[in-house]
Amino acid sequence: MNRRLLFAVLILKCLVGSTRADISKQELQKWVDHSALIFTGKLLSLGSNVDSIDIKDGAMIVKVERVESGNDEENFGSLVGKELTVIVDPSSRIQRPKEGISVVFFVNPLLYERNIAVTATAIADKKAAPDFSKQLSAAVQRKKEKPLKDAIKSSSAIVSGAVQEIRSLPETKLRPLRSFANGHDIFSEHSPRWKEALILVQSVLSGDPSIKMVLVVFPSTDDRAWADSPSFRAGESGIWLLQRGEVTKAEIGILLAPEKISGREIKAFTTLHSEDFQPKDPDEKNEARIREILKAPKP
Amino acid sequence: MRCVALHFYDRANLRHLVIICSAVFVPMAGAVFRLTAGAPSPAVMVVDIIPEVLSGETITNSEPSLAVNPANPLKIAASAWIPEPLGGKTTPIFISENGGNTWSCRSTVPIDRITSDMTQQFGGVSNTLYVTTVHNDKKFDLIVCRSDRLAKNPMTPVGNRPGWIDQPYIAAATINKKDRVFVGCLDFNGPKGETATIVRSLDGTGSPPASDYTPLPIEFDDPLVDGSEIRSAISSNGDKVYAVFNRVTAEINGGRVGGVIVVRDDNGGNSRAPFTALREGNGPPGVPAVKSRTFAWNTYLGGDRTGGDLAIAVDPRNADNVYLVWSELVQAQPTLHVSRSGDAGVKWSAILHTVTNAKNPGLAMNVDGTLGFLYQQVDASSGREMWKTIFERTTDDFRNVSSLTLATFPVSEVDAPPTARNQPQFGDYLNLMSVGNDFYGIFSSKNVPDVARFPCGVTFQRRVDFSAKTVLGLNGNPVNSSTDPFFFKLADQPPIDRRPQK
Repeated sequence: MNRRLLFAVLILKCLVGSTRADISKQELQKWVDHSALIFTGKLLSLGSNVDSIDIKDGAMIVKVERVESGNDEENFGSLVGKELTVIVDPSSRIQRPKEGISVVFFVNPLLYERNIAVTATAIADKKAAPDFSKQLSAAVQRKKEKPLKDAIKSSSAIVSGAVQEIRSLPETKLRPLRSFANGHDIFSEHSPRWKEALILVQSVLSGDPSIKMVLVVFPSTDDRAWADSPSFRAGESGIWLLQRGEVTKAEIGILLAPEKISGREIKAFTTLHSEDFQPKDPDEKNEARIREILKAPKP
Repeated sequence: MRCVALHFYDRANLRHLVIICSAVFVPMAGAVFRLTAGAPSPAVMVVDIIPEVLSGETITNSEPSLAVNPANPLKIAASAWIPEPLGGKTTPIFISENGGNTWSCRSTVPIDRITSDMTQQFGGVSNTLYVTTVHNDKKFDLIVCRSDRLAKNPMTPVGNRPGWIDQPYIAAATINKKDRVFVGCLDFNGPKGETATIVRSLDGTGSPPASDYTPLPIEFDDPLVDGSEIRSAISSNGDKVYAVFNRVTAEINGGRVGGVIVVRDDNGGNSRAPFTALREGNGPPGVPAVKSRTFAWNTYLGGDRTGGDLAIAVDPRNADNVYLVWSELVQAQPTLHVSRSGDAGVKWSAILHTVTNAKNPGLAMNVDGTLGFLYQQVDASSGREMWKTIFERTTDDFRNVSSLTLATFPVSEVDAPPTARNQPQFGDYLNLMSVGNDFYGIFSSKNVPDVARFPCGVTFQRRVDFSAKTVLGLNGNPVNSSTDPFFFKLADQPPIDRRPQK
C-alpha cells in the first residue's frame, strides 16, 4: 500500500461516522474540519437523483432539513428542502441511517448536475453525544475562526493604522527581482506587480510597541490568481497582521528588506491572505475580536 | 440523422433555416431552461456547460479548455475558472458522456484552489484523462492528475513541479502503445533564460519511474524571458512533436518584442536530445517562424487582458504540414496572423490570413484537410463595439473561408479594467480540436439568453428565460448575467458560406 493510500485510509478511519454514542470533541472537530457542508437531513430512499451516479455507487437520496455549516446560498439559494444524493463508500465504516430519522451528514461535494451529489465523511445521530448540537455549533465556530487564529499566530506584529502612501517598489528591490527565479515576479503572467503601502501605525496590538511606521508589500495586479490578497489605497485604515513567512526565504531577502524613509529604517512585511487585513469597521468589532484571541490562553 | 445533417448543410437550406430561426422565436412563459434556441441545425451545436443546479452562479468562468476522447468522442472533459461551488477543497471539472449535449460538473481534481490555468487532454486510445493546472497558493506549483473513470472519483496526482510555473497547456497521444503527455509551460525554476519548457511523461498510464514527468527546456538561447504561452502539437503518427513559444527580447509599454520559435522532436518526444530537430543554420535548436515583432502584453482588448497568443496544428494527413497562429501589434491593434510550413517547420510562409482586434486563437485540422480557426474579436463594424467568437474553416489556405459567428455581445458589458482582480475576463486562451471529421471547441462568453447573441443557436442547461433575456437562479428569480464556458461542435461538411479572401 503506498503512503498516499495509507494516509487516505487513516483519514477515513478518523472520519467514519456512526450513530454510536461516544463521539469525542476531537472526533467531531475532525469531521467538521474535513467537511465542506454539514446538514441535518432525512434519508428518503436508496438511489440517486443525478444521472452520473446510481445505487451501485452506494447512493441514497437525502432531504436537507437544516444547514449546520457551509452553503453560503450564493450559488444555490438555501439548500433547505432540497434533495441531495449522498454517497457512502461501501468500504467505509459509515453506517447508513434509517429512513425517516433525522441525522447529521458531514459531506464534501462530488458533482453537480440537475441536483447535487456529495460524499459522506461522517453521519451522526444527534443523540450520539450529550449536547451534540451545542458541541457541533462550537466545532463549526472553531473552524470559522481558525484562519484568523492561524494568521494571528504566524504574524510578526499586529498593528492598527492607516495607509499614508502607496509607493512603487524601489529599484533596489526591482533589480534583484529581475534575476531572481528567472524574473518570475516581473515577467510571469501572474506577476503580482508588487507595490508598497506605507502604514502610519496608530496602535500596536501585538509585537514591538515602538513601531511607528511599517511597509506592507502587496500585489497590485488585476490577475485573478491574487484575488484573495488584500490591496490598499492611500487613506485606508484597519488592522494589519504583519507577516514575514508568506514568501520564500530568498524573496524575504529582497522584498522585505527594510527601507530608509525620512531618515528612519522602516521594516517591511506582507499581508497576502485575506485574514491578514481587517478593514476598519464602525464599531471596531474586528479589533475587539483580535484582542480577544490574543488574550485567550494558548492551547 | 446523418441524412438530416447533410440536408441542413445544403447552402440554401441552411441560410433559410438561419433566417427562419433568427426571426421566429416562440417566447415561453415563466422559467425557461434546458432550452435550445436560435438555429436548430444539428451541424453546429453550442451549449452553455454550466449545469442546472448551478443556475445561481455568477462567477466569471474564463479561460476554458476542452478535451475530446479520440477513442470515444462521446466522452468530453472541459474546464474553466470556477471555484468549488460548495466551498470544497477540490477543483471542478466539467464532463459530458453524450458528446457534449449535457454536462456534469465534478469536483474531483485534488487541488484546493486553482488559478485560471487548467487544461486537460485524453490519451490517444487509453481512455485516460490527464489534467494539469497550477496551485493558487502564491507559489504556482504545477500538478498533473489522471483519471481512467472520467473524473467520477477523485483524480490521482501523478506529476508535480514545485513553484513558479505559468500556464500549463497539455497535449497527449498514444505513441508506441504508451500515452505520452506533454505539458507546455513557462518554468521559472530552470537555468538562466531557459524558461520555455515541456514537462513530459513517456508513459502516462504507467507507474513511476516510467510515468515520471520530466522538465525539458525547449529554449536553447538566452533571451530576456519566454512568453507564458507554450503550445505543442503531435503528428497523427506520433513521430513528430512540435512546440511553439514566444522568445521575448524586450518589454515595452503594453507589449513585448520577440520572435516566434518553433521546436520539433522526431522521435515522439523521446529523442536523446529532445526537441532539437529544428535549427536555423549553425544556431541553437529552434527555428524562428517569425524573427521579431511587437505583440500585445499586459494591455487590454475589449476589457480582456492580452497575452502572446499562439496556436499550432499539424495536418493529420501529413506530419510536415504545420499551421501556426501568432500575434502582432499592428497599428496598436492586437492582430492574429496565420502562417504555414510545408517542410516540418524549417521554412514558414508569408502571412496567409490576418484578423485584427482579435485574441485567443484555436487551430485544428480535421482528417479531410479542413483547417479550423477559432478566435475572439472586437468588431466595431456595426457602429458599436461587439465581442464576437468566430469559427472559420478553409481548405485552401484561406483563399476561401467559411465563417460562423458562434456568440456575440457588446463590449460595454465587460467590466472595464481594472475594477477588480478579475483578469482574464475571457481567458488567455480557448481551445479547438478535431476528432475525425468533426471540430470541437470551447470559449467563454456572456450568458445573456438572447437568440441574437448566438447566431448558430444555443442550449442552456442552467435556468434562463429567453423571452425576458434573463438568467435565472434555481428559485426562478433573475440573477446577474455573467461569463460562462460554451462548448461547440461542428460536424464538418463542405463550407456553407464561402467568401473570397480580400
